[in-house]
Amino acid sequence: MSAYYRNNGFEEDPDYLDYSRSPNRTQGYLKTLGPPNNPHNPGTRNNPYSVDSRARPDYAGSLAEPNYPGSLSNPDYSDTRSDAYPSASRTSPDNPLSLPEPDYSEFQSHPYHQPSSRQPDYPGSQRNPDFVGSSSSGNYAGSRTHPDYFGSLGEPDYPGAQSNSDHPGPRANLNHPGSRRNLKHTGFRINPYTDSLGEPDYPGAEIQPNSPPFLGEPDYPRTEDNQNSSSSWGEPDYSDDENGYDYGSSETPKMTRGVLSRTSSIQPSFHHRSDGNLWGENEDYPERIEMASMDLANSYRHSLPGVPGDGYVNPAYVDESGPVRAYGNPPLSECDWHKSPQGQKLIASLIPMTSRDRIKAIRNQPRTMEEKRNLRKIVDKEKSKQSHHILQLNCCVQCLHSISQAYRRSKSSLSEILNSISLWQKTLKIIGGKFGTSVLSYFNFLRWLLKFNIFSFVLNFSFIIIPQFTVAEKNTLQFTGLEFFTGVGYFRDTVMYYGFYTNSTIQHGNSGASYNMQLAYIFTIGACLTTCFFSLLFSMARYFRNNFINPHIYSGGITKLIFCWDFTVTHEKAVKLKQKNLSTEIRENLSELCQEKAKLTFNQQLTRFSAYVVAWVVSTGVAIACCAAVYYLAEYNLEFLKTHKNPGAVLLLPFIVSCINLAVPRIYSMFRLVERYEMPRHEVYVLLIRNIFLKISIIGILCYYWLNTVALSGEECWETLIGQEIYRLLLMDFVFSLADSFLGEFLRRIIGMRLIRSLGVQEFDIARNVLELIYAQTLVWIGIFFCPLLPFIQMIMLFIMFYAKNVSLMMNFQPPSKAWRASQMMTFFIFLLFFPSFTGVLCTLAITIWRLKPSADCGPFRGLPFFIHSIYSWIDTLSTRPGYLWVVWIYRNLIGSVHFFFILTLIVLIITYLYWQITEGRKIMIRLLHEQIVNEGKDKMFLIEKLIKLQDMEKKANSSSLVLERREVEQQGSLHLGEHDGSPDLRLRRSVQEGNPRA
Amino acid sequence: MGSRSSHAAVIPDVDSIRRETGFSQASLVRLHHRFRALDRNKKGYLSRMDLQQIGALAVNPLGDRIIESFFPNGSQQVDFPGFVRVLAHFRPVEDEDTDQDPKKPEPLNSRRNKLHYAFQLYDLDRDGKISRHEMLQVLRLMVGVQVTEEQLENIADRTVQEADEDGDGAVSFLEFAKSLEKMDVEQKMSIRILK
Repeated sequence: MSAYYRNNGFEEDPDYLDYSRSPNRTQGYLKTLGPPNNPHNPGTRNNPYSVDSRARPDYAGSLAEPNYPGSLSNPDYSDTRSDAYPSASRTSPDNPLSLPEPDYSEFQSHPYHQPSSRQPDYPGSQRNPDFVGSSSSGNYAGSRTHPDYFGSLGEPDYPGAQSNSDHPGPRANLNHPGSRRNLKHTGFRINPYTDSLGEPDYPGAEIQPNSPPFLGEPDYPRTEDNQNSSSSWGEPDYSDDENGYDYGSSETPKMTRGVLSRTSSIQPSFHHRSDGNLWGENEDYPERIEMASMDLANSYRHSLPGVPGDGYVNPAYVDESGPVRAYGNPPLSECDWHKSPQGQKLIASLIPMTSRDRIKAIRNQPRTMEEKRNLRKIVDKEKSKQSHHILQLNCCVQCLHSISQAYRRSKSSLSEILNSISLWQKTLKIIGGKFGTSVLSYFNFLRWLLKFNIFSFVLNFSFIIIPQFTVAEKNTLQFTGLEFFTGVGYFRDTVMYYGFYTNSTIQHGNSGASYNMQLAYIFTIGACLTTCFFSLLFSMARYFRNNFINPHIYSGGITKLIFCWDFTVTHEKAVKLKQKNLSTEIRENLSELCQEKAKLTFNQQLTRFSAYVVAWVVSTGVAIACCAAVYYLAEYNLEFLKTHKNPGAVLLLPFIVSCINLAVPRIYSMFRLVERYEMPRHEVYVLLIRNIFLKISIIGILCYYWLNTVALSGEECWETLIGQEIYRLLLMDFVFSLADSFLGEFLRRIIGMRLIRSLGVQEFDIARNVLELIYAQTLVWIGIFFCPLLPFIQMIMLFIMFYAKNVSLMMNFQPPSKAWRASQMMTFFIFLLFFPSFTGVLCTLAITIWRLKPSADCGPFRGLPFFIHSIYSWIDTLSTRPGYLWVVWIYRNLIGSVHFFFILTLIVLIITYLYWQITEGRKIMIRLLHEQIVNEGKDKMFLIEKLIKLQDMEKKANSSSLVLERREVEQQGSLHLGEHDGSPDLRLRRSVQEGNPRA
Repeated sequence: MGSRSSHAAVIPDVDSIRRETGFSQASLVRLHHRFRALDRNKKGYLSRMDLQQIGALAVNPLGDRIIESFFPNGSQQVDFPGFVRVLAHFRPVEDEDTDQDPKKPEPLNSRRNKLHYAFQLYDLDRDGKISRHEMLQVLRLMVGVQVTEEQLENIADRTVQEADEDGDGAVSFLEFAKSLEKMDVEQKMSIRILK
């Protein structure tokens, strides 16, 4: 017998040495303890819960070591216990030592001593007839084996284990004859766990519970954990024995109902305690190893709760109350996973967790989605059952959790839906893949504008157009088809133009609510522009913020550029492109350098400077000339149209404007031959500025013409005329863009590829294309007041434009050689859209509304002296109704008050100034921190160098201790290198672990 | 050697080569096949001419340097182990490589060795330092004709100045490694075929 046990002990040792064989431990245990179980099974099952409750005090008692002896004297405890306990207490002194890692390894190094010390106890207890007969051992075996298996069986990775789970009862029986072959059998099952045990982070205590001799011991760390964790979970249920008691007696029945009527469920509360505990630890743990390997963490999670938790826990309570055993429990069918013991166990362990931890744990389960969902449902159900017993406070916590959960869920599903309906996802991906992010930014911008227009259209449609439809008069004008281009004729009397809208209050039926068209018109347009304003502002701010955090600013990248050739590039074209990229970047870098040096001679400087001046003068002159031409043409056009009856004549002005927009930017881009900017980036910015100046000034001069000439000319319905003009401009611009995409770019490709090969395939000019978009959008914003349907038209145009540009891009272009920073470009585009364009629109519309007299016979504002008078009269009306006085107050004191705006401006200025100061401070901070990073890098290199030298010296000096030294060096090195790479860190730890026994 | 069978047994010292380079048996067989295909006269070694047939190398602006690296110590021929040894620098880093026995020498495809190989490409005279002159030559190769000589000189100066920490006017390996500290050298110096 003693020899037998020696063997047993021996088997345990390898566990410590080599974790892969740790399961042996369990086996050994089974062997010895398995048999007694059976006889007890029937009796013990009847009364499982009393055991539970009894186990609790014991548990609590074991929190501190000194309590142990006390617990021994506890009358509740069976005689056998006293046998078992001494053994535990005897071994315990060793244990605290083995808790911290280094000690633990030390402990490993003397595996043979400890077993021998334990052995005597063991046989003793075994031989003791009481002991054998007592349920304790039975329990022990039962509880031990079962949970172990189940815990680890839950792993689909270990098919062998699964098959075992089906026959827990017979298994135990089989084992106990001492069949060693089973050892191996179990061996691989628990491997994952053992692997993770190898981690030094893990307290040694975790490992010990499994080993029989330590029965008592592991309680210390464990139970302490329990208390901590229970408080952190906010689950008072398990925090102290009292609760435990209640739980055991009253709760468990309920639990069983829900959880199971089976083996491991017997002590649900118990499991909660132990497992929950472990899980709590797990939560931290995976995070630590996450870097290293996810698999490890996973396997660890699943196997752990089963193995050490129950394995060790049970002994404590089993000793007294053994009967609980559900040993002979019929095996479960694997098909319904969560009903199986391990599933139940898992569920039980999940319940006490906070919802976040629980979700995390469930998510990490190696199961199908369906199973996970089921699992969560079950756990939630359990949770809700429990919640009756939870304190009010916890209820609130739960409530909050569920709310946050629901919120999270709805948010994620919403974003999912948005993602699925978002336009052109796939096309954009293709573009991004082929042409890079810079070209992609153009298309993103286009899509962004499209969203804007969809929004404006929906707003206009629902608040202006639909109401107008209900009172629409019959349109008597003739429709020929040319109207599509000119926008006149038939369209004049449709919802498209301002002039068609009624000024009356729409009221259907005598009792129905009234709808004031004047107010609806002005408020809808106002809301539309306000939304645009804020969304522009916010996206601009977001992009600026993202750009501000740009690490490139602080790193000198020139060496990286040169030293790091990408050897994976093997295709000839790709190599050419890469070379081109490199040269561009080098030139950019150089010009930055040159800026600092400025080693040009005076003559050269003079020439360059004069070239700049000439270029600027010429470009500005061209822009002004264009503006003047447009203005005089427009004035002349007015006269001309009065005499001319051809309906197509109105297209003259838009045609000229579009021609200017097409030709002049190309002239501008030729200036670079003269200017010779050294930095390609500067060239681009200069070009952009000139182009935007041209476009905006043309729109500006047209606005001036509209507001100063057309509006004051006494035409019958000047708002509609302006609307038509804008419509024509927009349409003509669109036609030109299309023609440019399909003809111009196509021709250019043919020329580049066939005729003048030196030109090569053209690159997609992002700046010019974006400016076209900005120009069109500006027109839409101005026109939205005069032609509420304009966003809809623009919507269609953008939609077509996307496909046209896409096709043209794929056919005619090559990726740009300039390394644009896409995020910066996007910021710049949005800024341009905001600053000259949108603010200009706001000014124009403000002048229109506050200063101009609406036409007398058409539109919603007919008969008023100014547009804004509709608001004034509305306020006047409201001030007679007591219920709406607050609106009047707000208007008078906030919107209409000069003082309020004065104070507001002052406050805003102060805040701006403060933030500016903060920003400055942060900039300095960032620079300092960056310097610090650089210094740390230097330190690191220095230390590594020193360590390497040291290592070499050691190698020479002492070849026998080579391994150890090297490890030390590595260990220190890893401290420094660890930041860069997580995996060496892990490897190091492992090697340390492996190495220690040897040492 | 003359036999056309692609069997591992044909390769001399296959085990020692495998141990040194970390290539799998299959890739060694493939490489050996390639080696013999490049070896036009069945002479058992490769000359510079043979290597220049490789398309990917011909395209690479640093191709000549790489070819040069096959012939250390001024020899005119490279045998199969030498051939594989150089290629091993381009083997992708795999996960199982990470938990190596610390006693074993670093594998040829480790980051450090990759860097060292790249460094050798720049360091023409093998004095352990990249001088300004060497830098300029590499730049000329890499950038092509689009940049003027003056600009290249500037950039070479600038590079040396940026990377040089001990002030000797040249870039040592440590300085080289440091300037590439956060770059994905492992990625850029890995060729997928070479498992």
